[in-house]
Amino acid sequence: MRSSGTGGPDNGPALRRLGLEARIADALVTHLVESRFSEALMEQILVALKESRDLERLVVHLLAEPEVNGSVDGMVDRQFGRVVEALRKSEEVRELVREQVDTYLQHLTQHPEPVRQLIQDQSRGMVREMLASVRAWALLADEAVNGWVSRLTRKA
Amino acid sequence: MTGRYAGIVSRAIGHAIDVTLLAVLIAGSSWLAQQFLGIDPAHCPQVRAWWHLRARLCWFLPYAAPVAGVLIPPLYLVTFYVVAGRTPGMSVLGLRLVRANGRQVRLRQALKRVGTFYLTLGLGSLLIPVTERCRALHDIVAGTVVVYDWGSHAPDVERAIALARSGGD
Repeated sequence: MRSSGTGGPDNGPALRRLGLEARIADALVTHLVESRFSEALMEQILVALKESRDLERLVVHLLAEPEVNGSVDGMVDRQFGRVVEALRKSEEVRELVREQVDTYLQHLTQHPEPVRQLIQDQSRGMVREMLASVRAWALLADEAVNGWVSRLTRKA
Repeated sequence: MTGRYAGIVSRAIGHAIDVTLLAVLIAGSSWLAQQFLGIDPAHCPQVRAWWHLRARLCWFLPYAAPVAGVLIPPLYLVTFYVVAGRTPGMSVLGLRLVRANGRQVRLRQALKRVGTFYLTLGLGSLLIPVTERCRALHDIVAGTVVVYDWGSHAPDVERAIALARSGGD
């Protein structure tokens, strides 16, 4: 994921907010394009394949070849990159995302309970995990010492 | 795993946590008392009359921490053994002190255990790896055992043990 690079640590809250919005916009656009673009592409391929069984066999055969598969992947990646870049530059998309972000942030400000709950659950989980690993390591060390002592006493 | 006799490492770590906690508590209380009462033990005023309590406290304070260091730990251990069956340090390691028959410890056993521990300077703990039920000398005298009791954390600990045994794969 690329960052738009807006705002440094010394900039004001407004610039930091712009930076956050740009990053969220990037993430949303990429997600949108990934899901929509790949769906549309797959649909087109499936329609084309349904029309001709020979073509289906040909495509399957070609895609089985590593070098063909690699170049198809490369081509799709390039096309995909172009679409993402075009969408990133689109002011309409940015405006749309900004509106969504505003709504989402407003919702989070009005209903912070789920986020608080999430943070609390995560903290509790971290403490539980830390305690569990301390106890596990102590038990293993106990077993090691007991084993060592019993070997020593057997020898003596 | 829960209910098995606890070994020397778990018990030593639990004890170290208790000692640290007590040291912080005693030293912190002494420091707080000095700050709160505005006492500097290095420059104590002379006690000229019986009602000069701050001056008296100032002379007494350097001895208060060592005295507390001797009196508070046994009190702390006995209280926690009787009330909860475990000290905070034992709680972190998931250990519990019970009588040899598995019942809760009473004041008599707690006093015997703590008394023997201090009389033997804790050296009785060296018996833990060589006795059948991992009992220290103070456990044998008091008729107690220390067992693992992880409570609701048991599945987490067992998962961590399995992970550690498999080498973290």
